Amino acid sequence: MSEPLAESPHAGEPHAGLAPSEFAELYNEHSRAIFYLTLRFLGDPQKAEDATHDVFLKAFRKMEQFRGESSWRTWLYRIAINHCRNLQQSWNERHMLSNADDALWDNAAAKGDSPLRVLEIKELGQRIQSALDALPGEYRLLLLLVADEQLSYEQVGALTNQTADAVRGKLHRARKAFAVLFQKPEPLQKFPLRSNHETPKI
Amino acid sequence: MKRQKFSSQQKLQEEQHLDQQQVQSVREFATVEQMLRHDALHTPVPPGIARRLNESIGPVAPPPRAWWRRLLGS
Repeated sequence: MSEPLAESPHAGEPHAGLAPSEFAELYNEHSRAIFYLTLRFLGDPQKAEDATHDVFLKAFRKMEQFRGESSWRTWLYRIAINHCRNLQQSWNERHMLSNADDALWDNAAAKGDSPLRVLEIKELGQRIQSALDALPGEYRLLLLLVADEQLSYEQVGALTNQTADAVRGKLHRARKAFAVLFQKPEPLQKFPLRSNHETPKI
Repeated sequence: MKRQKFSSQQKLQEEQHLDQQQVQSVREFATVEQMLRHDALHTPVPPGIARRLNESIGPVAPPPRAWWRRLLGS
């Protein structure tokens, strides 16, 4: 998922002024992953931008505390997750579903096994965000972490304080719940039937 | 009549073209993770973050010289 900043769409601004140091390399390698996590976790581009800045600033200030017991990626994710959770607690903006709703997802997830079809539209991100927003926070975080191919189930478990087996179990339900929410017909009505933009096709 | 036929043919062609466009741009993801990876790859990191970080981290200004050092010129 990560790639050097030089290969990103903003390659015209290599490092954007950051000194060519170990930290700049760290930023280039992991900023995409951290920004994406904060964006989809918080659901707001501006807040995600602020959060990513704060996460890397914290990392910079605590770099000496990093003992290499985990990967840099995992360490940064941990800072990002704690930061986002603190923000969410203080904002109290979002309606969070509890784990008691697991049964609801299990029962409703019959159509969640089919592949997810979308048209190449700009709204793909919006559709993903809407589905993630409606998920319980734990499911949302699990899906976002597992989507990063650099993380193993063990690492995801360590980041979310549970075993790899627990991750696998919850992930199964999270995938189904996401698919059900993503394929909900309501948002389709908001988009024009014919468009060059992306529209999910059910 | 001819004109009417032409316009209906044109309309049909336009519709077919639009249908084709729609079919061509269908994308299928086998898993949620695959979709999220695709989304992540197409979500650029705002360049403003690196700029702000640079400002936040930037070189720490040296502490001001003590008054007596300034007075003695040392």
